[in-house]
Amino acid sequence: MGELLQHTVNGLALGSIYALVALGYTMVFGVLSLINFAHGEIFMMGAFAGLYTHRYVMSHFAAPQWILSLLVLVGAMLGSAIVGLIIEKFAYRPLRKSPRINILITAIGASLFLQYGGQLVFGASPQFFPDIFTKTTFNLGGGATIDSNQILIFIVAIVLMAMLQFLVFKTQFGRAMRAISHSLETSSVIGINVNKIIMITFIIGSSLAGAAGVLYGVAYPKIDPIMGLMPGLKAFVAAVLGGIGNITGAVIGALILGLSETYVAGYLSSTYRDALAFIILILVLLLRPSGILGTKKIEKV
Amino acid sequence: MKKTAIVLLVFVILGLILNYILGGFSFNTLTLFFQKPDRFQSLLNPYYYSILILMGINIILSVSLCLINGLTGMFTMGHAGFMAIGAYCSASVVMFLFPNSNSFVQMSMGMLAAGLGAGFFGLILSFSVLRLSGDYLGMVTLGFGEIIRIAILNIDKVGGARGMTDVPQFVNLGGVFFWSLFTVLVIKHLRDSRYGRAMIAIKENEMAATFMGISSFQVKVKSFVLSSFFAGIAGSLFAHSQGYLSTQTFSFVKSFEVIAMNVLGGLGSISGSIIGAVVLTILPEGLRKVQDFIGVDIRMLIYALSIILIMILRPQGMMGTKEWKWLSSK
Repeated sequence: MGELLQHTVNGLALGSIYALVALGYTMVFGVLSLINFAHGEIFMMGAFAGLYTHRYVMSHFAAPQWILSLLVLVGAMLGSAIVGLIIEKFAYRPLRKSPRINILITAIGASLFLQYGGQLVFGASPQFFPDIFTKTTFNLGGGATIDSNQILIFIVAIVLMAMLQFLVFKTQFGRAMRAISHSLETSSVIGINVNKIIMITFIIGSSLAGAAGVLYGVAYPKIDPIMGLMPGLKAFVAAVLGGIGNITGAVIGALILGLSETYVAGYLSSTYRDALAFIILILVLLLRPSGILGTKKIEKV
Repeated sequence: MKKTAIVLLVFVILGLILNYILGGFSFNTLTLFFQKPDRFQSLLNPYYYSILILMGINIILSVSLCLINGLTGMFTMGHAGFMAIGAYCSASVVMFLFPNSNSFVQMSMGMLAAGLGAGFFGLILSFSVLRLSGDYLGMVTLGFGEIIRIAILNIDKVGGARGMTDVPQFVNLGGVFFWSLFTVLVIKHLRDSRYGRAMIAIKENEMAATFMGISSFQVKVKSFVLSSFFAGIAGSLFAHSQGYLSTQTFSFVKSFEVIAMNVLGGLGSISGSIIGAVVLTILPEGLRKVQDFIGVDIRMLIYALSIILIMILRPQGMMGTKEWKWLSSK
């Protein structure tokens, strides 16, 4: 029982990180119908931005722990938002009218660019992500424990998701974004500044990925320039699982994925953990291509 | 069909002659195309030689992907998976079943296993996923390719994470170029046949093609299987020219690379696929010189940047849908 509880806690923590990344995928797909393959690298950039913010703050100020962690989080979100903005502006925007496969290849090019650029700037060898909070462990009963980092992950993820939910469903921007995801052309006809909304969508999606990068660094304190590859792909699977383009779906899909990964790693074998995400992907697409919460599109003649 | 058969026969004979010129002919060992070393190897710098071999393999991959992505208009991202199946099938057949045979037997059995293995998986995959289309098909094939890679990673018999070492190397430049030309010609003739026109019809408008009496499912399965067959062949050539296999080579990045070749040259154009393969093989290697000159490790950075720039500046690819004369339909 304690073991199951432990796996559940770990799975939910992993799933929350995936969820933050998956939200970016699903938002960009919603407005542009584009699978932003550079998103995993934006996540990586966030982790490094957090690392460097931490180093800078530590060497210049004696900030208390909570201000420090807040600064790291904000620094990471800012850093990856800038990266996302640059990619959108210089790589995706010139291609808005081209076939989708071209945009996809550009996305892959951007992803490679960030990976190799990261290796050039940060160095190819892994770096240790600092312990921002002193780690304390709490007993949950039955031998299961939850540590302060996991609690931090839950809190940050929930707060950010609540903010996103408010932004998308309660503000003018959110309404415009949802209109664009229905039809880009119509939205521009009725006077929505499409480019601006897409830009803001990229900023929000990227900053969520940046926050996820910091949380990932806190949970698995070893970061390197190619760390974004697998979490990026898995978050993408999570977005598809929940129904790509659907924000609640992305969170549900990510939690399911995080839980099932930890269960498989815990009870079966950890080597099959990476395959599981793709098996889920194939099964979902075969049985219910629109995902758990997605809507079906009917092709008309 | 008859015309294709004649062309292929002529081509095999031409290949024999070419091989004779390149490497000399030795019936007693029956190594035919596949003996190593050939005369090129003594003429060329080994580094250039290996680049040329990689170029040939990339041409096979790119042109075979052109059959699915360019001609039939399906979007797949799992080509590296089929290449991996081919490479590992071929290497295991040669190393475990025919360890002591001469290289002709090894080569033909390895190739056969590679092509059939990859084709078989292509058949299974296409039967299960072809009712999907568009991005979803791309995602499933991407997942499939990764599953294949992780499955191989977990088979200890073929080296697992350590990779497969000491794979017999008997593929030479003549062999690689023979196969790449063979692939190009087969796909060119397929495109000009009834099936090819059906494929293009499906690409242009699947529903209209179905109304014309084309079984879109059958045509799609055929193009999928043939394409994965050739990807398997490319994998086999890769295995027996490099001598070392690691699952890392066949990650989805490789699939993307092949797609990039396709799109760079011009989606739907066989000549374009060839150009794309040549350019994207030479580009990273050629940039090595630039890197030596500048002294900073910016080779792959420029490579990535040039992919983005080409997509922005010339989105239809280098050839568009045009073909070279010897590959055009007329």
